[in-house]
Amino acid sequence: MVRAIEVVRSAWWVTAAVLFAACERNPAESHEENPQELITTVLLRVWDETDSMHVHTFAWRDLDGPGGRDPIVDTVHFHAEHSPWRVSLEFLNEAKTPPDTITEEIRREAEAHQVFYELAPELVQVLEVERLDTDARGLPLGLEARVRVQATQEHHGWLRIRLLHYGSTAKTTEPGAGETDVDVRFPVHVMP
Amino acid sequence: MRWLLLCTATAVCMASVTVRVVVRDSTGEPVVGARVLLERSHWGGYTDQTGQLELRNVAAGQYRLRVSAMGFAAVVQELRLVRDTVVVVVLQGQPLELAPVQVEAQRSPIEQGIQPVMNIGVRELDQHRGQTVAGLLERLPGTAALTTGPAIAKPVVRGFVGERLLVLSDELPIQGQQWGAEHAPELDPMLVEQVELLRGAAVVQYGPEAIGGVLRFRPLPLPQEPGRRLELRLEGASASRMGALGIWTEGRERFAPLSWRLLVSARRSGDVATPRYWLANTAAQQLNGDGAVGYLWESGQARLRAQLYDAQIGVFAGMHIGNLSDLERAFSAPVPLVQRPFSYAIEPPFQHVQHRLLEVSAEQQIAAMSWRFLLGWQQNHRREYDRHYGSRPAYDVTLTTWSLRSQLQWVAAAGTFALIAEAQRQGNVSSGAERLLPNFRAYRAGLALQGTWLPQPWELQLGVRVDGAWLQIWRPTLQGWSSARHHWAGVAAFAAIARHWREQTLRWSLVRGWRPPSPVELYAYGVHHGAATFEIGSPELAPEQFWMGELDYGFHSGAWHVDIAAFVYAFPSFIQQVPAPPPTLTIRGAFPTFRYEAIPALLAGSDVLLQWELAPQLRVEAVGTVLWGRQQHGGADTVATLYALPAPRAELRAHWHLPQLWKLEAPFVEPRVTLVARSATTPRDYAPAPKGYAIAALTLGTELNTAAGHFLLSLEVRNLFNRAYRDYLSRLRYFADEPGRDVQVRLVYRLR
Repeated sequence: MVRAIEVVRSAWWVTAAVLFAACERNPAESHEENPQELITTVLLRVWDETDSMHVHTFAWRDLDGPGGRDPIVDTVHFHAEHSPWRVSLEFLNEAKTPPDTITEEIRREAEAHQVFYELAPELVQVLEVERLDTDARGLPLGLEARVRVQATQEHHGWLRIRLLHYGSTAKTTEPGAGETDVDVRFPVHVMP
Repeated sequence: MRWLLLCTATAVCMASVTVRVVVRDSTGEPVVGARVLLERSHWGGYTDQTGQLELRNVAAGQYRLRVSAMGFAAVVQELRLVRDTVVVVVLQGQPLELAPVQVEAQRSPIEQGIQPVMNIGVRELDQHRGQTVAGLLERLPGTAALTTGPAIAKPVVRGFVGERLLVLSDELPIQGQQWGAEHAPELDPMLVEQVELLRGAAVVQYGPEAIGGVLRFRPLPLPQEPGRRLELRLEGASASRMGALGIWTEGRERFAPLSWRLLVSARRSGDVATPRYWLANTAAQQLNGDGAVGYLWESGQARLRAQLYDAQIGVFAGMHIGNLSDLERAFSAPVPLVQRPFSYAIEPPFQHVQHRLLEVSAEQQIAAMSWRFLLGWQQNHRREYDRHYGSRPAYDVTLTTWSLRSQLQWVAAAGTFALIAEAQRQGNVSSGAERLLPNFRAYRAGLALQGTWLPQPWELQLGVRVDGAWLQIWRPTLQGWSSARHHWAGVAAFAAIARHWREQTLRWSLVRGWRPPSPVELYAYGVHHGAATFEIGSPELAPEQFWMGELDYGFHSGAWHVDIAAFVYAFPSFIQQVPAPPPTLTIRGAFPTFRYEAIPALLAGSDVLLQWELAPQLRVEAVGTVLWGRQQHGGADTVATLYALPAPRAELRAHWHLPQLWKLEAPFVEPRVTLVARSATTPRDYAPAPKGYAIAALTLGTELNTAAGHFLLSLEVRNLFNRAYRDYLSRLRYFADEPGRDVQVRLVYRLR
């Protein structure tokens, strides 16, 4: 018994001595760069489904990350006469040079991601968004979508795009337990 | 070995304390050769030439002190010993009449001041030890716990938490990341033998952070008699399927005046059960240790102590959210959105906290003077992982602190005085994927003088303290690293006066204090996940200032023990997050913006403790707290209730000692009921404050003495009726219920 105590006691002091040998890092010098693993930019590429040569790109950009300067957001234009439109989403980190494309990672981890499109109440009767791509289990992914426009007059509103991330939690067709990675609103202008 | 036997013989082997009894006559002259006896115990003796007697290794507890001497009327007084104590007994000359009580029991008058000190001893702790140190406090009036799941609990005293409450590991303030609501003190409850709460004078003795007081979690003093001792502690809890093992060994060598102690504990718990579901990812695991070696001599001692704390704690998966709409979705869900079957697995989000502490202390008595010295080193390494960054911590902060403390104390004819000098150096380095806190270097120095006078039946205490603080920060900006410097100085003062009657005491105290703003209050900038707020620090913040007045009434008779306190804190400037619209627009959506500002605030409240020995076997206790707080961050229409103020609460307990059953000694039954009212909803709340609740608990305990050793057993059922409820101070309240029925078993086995 006493022997066991002796052994535990010496082990303790050896461990403590080793652990306490660790030195302090100097806060004045520990200036490692902060590799910003953030998404700064959402690109919305829009083209007429019958004419993939002419792609319009709209951006939601916040290059300095949360806070600081306000994000710069383009207004998305849809013409009813060229309906249906194809929409393709791209997520970038433009704080890095060259910019990081996050879209490929999302596509690779399709089963843990989902994009939701939500329209302003005044646009619900005007636009219809249909998600085209799915993950391996057949659940929507939403990086690709089709937008049908039905308008006889001008409309203004917004399109909310949300990218949800499902870690250890199950992905369903609902937002459910997903954690928001991106939640942006584009102003939308619809022309007849 | 003799000491060991003594312990088991009394069956009360609790914290041992040193009692110095000073006997004087009515003119203040020492009484030589007075007989001093702690009745029904082994401790006693005669006073020396200076009229003093020191009793060492006295087990903490309730005693009857009898002091008698030729030519004087004997004095008998109840004495409650919880730590090193100086008792001044004034004997009145004959004839034998019923003299007013002249015994004043004080724990070292300098340390305690004349403010009441609440404490919980080792016996009570052994019977109620839970998963966190904050949980140990629930038996004291005026305290609560700010929780983030069952394994993370921050102590709250009179509504003060974090940077306004000092938590001591023995004598060293624990320096962790106090600013975070989900950052609990780095202490294992299994390694704590005694809990004390010091208020009032604490601001002078320990410095600016002691606004709410000082919570001291202490191990036992090192043994002073040769021998060795081994104790095993086992704990189990049903709600989280927790198991914990502690090994405690201590001793003193015969061949050298060396005492030592080693405590090691391991704890593992799984997802905790509420009445309706498991709380996903609330598992935790810990490995902690505490070791000390002391060299004791006739008039002093030196000690080296090391403490290690390593905990991985899962954060409830249902509360980690990306933005405000996730939060709103989580609120409106009837059951948490994230569910999983019971598991011991810890997945992101989780915290991994390591705290290392090394302390060298020395104490020397020179006649009526004593000097205590303390040098401490601490390193706190906190890593927080979330789902975004995978294996890379979102926050990774290392805080290193050096502390130096010197306390000189002397007893003069006029009173007892203390001179305290303190210095501190801190460095903080952040290296995670996100930064809420800048890198900083901070220096702090303080000097305090305190005096206590005891002109019977009055007591008077005055103290003043001067502190200076210097801070330099570095933080990344778009243009590179930027740096800034700050310095502050301030004065704290404390005055208290007490009047004693036969069984009653009335105390009045006044405190003036300040606190420099913390780096996070100055420079926070970013989204606070979990709170779904965008927090902005204010580099121009001035220190927080406050005044506090308190009135205490104590009534202590044979059967009754009553303590009632009423207090008011007035803050001309109280550093608080206040809403700063418009919301901050980020790629994850819009977050409500909050800015740290110093605003006027007022906090008032009352604590009550009632104990009634209804019969020798039955004690009834009631503990209650009420708090009221207001803040103002603009015009008269912006007066609002202080955020996160504990709701009015009361706890009723009955402690019933049963006669010996077979070999089971000191069996007891303790039913208790906790009543909590609804808190006021403040503008910062996203959802109304949860309803009030009442929950019941039952504890059964006993002791068993066998040839193999001494056993202390207790069984506690918390939330006896498995009620689903939510608590305002729980950060889970928006998302999930509190734990359901929890059967906890504790076993302390002391080997012969």
